[in-house]
Amino acid sequence: MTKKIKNTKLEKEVKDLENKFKRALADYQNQTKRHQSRQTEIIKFANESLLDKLLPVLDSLEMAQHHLKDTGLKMILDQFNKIINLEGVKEITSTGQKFNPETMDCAVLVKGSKDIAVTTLVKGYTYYDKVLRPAKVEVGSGQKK
Amino acid sequence: MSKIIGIDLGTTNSAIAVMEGGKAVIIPSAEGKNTFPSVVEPEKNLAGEVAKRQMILNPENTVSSVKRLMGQKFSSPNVTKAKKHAAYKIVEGKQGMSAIEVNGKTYTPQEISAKILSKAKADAESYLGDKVTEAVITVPAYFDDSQRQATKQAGEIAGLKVKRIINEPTAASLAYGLDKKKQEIVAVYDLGGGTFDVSILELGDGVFEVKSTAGDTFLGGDDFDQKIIEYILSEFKKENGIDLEKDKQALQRIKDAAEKAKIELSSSTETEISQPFITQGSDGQPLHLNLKLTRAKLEELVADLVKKTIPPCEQALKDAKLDKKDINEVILVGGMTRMPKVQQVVKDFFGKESNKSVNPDEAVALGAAIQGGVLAGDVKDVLLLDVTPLSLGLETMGSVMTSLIERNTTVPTSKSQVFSTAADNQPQVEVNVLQGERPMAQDNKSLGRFVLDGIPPAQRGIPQIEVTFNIDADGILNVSAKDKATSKEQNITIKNATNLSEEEVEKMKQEAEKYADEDKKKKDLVDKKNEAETFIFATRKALESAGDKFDKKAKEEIEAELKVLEEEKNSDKTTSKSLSEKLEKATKVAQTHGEALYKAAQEAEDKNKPKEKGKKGDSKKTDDKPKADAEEGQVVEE
Repeated sequence: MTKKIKNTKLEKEVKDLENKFKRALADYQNQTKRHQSRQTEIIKFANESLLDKLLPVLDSLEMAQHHLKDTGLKMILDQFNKIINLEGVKEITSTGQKFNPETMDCAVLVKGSKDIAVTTLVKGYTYYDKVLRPAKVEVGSGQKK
Repeated sequence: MSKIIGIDLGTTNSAIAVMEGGKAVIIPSAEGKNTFPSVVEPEKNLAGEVAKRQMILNPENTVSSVKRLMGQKFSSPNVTKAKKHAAYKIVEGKQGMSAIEVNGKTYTPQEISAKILSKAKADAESYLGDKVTEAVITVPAYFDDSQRQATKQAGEIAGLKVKRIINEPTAASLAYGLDKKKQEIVAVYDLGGGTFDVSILELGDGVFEVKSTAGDTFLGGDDFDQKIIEYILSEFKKENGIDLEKDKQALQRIKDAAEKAKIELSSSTETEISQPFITQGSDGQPLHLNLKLTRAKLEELVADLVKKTIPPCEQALKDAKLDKKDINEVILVGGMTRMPKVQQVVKDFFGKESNKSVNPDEAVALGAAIQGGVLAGDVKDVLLLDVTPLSLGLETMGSVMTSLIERNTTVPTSKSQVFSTAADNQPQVEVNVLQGERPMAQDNKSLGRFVLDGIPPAQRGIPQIEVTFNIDADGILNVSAKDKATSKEQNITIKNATNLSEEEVEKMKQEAEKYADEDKKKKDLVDKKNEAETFIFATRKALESAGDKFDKKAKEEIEAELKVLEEEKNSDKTTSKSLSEKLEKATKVAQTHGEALYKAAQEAEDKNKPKEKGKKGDSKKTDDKPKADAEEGQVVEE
């Protein structure tokens, strides 16, 4: 009798352990699969954080150009834009477009056509198909200017 | 069976986590962040980051901080307070409960929360590649039954079976692994994006009892950002006489810069807020914002905000009828607790250093996931896999420590590496098992040693000795060495290889850092000595085998250089640099005659080869050219 009880206990323990082991193995295999499928993505987006950090520099250069209107600076800007475009970064067209929260961030509401991004405060950029930084925009309230 | 996810359903931000491979991990949101805003636009069915972006455009239809309304009567003081802060319409719903009106349609707080939970569910499913149907959701410790019920219903609306509702401080304690400890009183200090909570917990035998809780429901990171923005604006005005607040474009850039500066000042003591061409002066000249913000200045700016967290701490202690000295552990939760000033104030108040080992933004969600793992049934106790606190390796030629298992490797694990002998006809090797981070053997802890003997006579570098380090789940280390030619094996078992006291680990790590420079010099010298020795050995061997086929004068020349090098190597005063110079010179001389020497050696060997092989009678492949540096390392010379 005691032997039987012991056996059931042991069987349960074995089952428990087997379950735990299978679970750990499954977790591991899933992790491997996920890692494989993400590998391409990881490579593709490896530059993302660096590009994100470069965007404020681009903003500043553009602000400078806005004030200085310098030919040399324009050349630098063109170079900069060319490089990031080659890396897959594209500017989000925002001014004059219908507000879209997927790609734009409404910073303030102003007079102007309803739900239209009237001005772009900070340019937005996509990286491949992902939003790298949403465009910060002023959106029209529908009230006439 | 699908997994039970853990959800930290926060007032300002939410986070999701799951157990994977016995460890709780954060599930990133679809936008790639570890947390997402608890903001919902119910009409267009937007939740998270996307809903937040259109908040200003659509304030009446965008619901934030809905947690404040969960399970609350419309007439309750909490709702009255929330009404003051909310841009959306809070109305009286069924049975006097609070509700939200958007575009003429009434939503219960549960329905709104459900949209946040639906997003969490969808993001988790996309991460796990599997359906998610069950969850553990956290709530503040002060939530009453009706608020807990409402949270549970929100989960059900989102299609999640809520396996359990747990308290946020309890979840945080779980994430910190405090359930493993004995009886303890823990203070959980939680300063998040919009609310502050402090809870006193009593832990014991896996039971968590919330003794008291207090807080400020309108105090958080956003208030800190605002202080910095105000400071920047006033400084700019002082200097340039221009109020940037009116320039929306400039203000937007300052807002982003302020948050960035706050985060940077948690790890550095000074940061520069630099926004060139922010605006133009009255004369049309461009103006730049260039402002240095020190940590001290920031701390001065937010001092009153940080101070505001102290009275609730006092209150919580009073309610728990406890004294500061009764608290065994203080843990920090919420992104704002990364600020050194906050940590300092907490330390000053409780009189002890707080535990910061878990990412404060993630602790609650991670704890919920751990609870989910425990509830999954088969995990009675959270299976915590140990890691090796220090590197494990062995002593090799020149008393160098060669690591086989690096520190922080999760056990069970095993690793093998092939070594060889350091001298010709070496009959035995001694394996000295070492633990530590220092490059030189004598500076590390020796865990044990054994000898593998009976190695057949052979040139140095020829025998292949495979050394295997194996640590099992209980931290027991087994080291074996096997001569591949004879299959002769020796081993040693060391118990508790991973069990060092915390102090021991800390001391050894600190020592490693302290002596890093000195150690590197020592190791460089040993490496150089080994290199020189290998070179001398290989060259002499080549000269020997070339015999009289090689020009005698050239041989003498090379020999002379080798002698100089050898003397330098054996000198006590030698340094890595001087030895390197001598080695370079000798190499150059040898190289000028290299081709001739190589050819001569080759010819001589071709002639001797069959004979020599027969004599040795070795079944193992023997390389004709001395190959002293071919193996990955060399077991120390006897």
